[in-house]
Amino acid sequence: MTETPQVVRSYLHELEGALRGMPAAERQEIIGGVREELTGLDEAAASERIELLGDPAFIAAQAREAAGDVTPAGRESFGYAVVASLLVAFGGIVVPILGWIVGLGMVWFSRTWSVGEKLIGTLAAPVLGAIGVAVSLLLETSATAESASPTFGSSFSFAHGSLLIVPVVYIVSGLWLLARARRTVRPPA
Amino acid sequence: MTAVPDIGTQLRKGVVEFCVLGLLGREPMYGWQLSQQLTEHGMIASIGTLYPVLTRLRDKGLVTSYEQASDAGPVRRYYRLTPTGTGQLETFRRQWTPFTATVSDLVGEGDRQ
Repeated sequence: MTETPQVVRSYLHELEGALRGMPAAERQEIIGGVREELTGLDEAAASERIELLGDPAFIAAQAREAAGDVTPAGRESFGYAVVASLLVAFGGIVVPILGWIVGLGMVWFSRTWSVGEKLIGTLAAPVLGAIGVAVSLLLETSATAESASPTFGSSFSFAHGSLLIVPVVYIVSGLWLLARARRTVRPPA
Repeated sequence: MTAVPDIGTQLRKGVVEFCVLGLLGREPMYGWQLSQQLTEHGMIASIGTLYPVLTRLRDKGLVTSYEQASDAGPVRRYYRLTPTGTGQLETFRRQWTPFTATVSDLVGEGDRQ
């Protein structure tokens, strides 16, 4: 695999910036399509193709017009995305449970993230938490089966302890959503 | 005071989706191919216009996409018509000629009376 020329990396980076604030699905489709055209080209061929593709700001303006999006450069959407991500990360710790619900609600109403990203952001914490509890309950069952004197107290608190996974994963999820909002698509390696 | 929209732009907006359906009716195409064809014919100004159109067509179930590796180049996302898309294209074809004839009748031809 050849190294991606600098000119391609800069172009894609500029395009990502110009498209910020557009719906995630459309933004990813445009960047994916443009990247597809620049993959595997050497510096000279890529520069030529970039010339044909045109200025990222122009592409983004055309895309916004075609999508019927009138948000100017999507600055407001990004501010909204920051608040939503931080609420997912820390909201539930500041205002137990409710903070997360508000944050996730904002994430689901936003156009910044794709449905897949929203699902990951929402479900990672409860799913991992549930797995943690299930594993600790399983350990508890096998421990009580093996031992004549059941150790309910300790394993029960172990199951409770594994619930701590939830806030930790929400912090990671919230920060990940923020990173995705800042730069939804990575340039190719 | 609102600016008077360019007539060409308005007309293109109305038909660009069907032009995409028409091109895909010939064969599945990838984004750049579609963009080149439409740009050459003056239907879109840049690839930026194309993808929101494709997204809309896909949301309506008229177009679907799949990835295919090329022999020498990158993996490409191809777009093709769904059966609904084919039906929609047929309907458009049936209506387009009588529609343009009607409009020509109503608008008239300026230099002739």
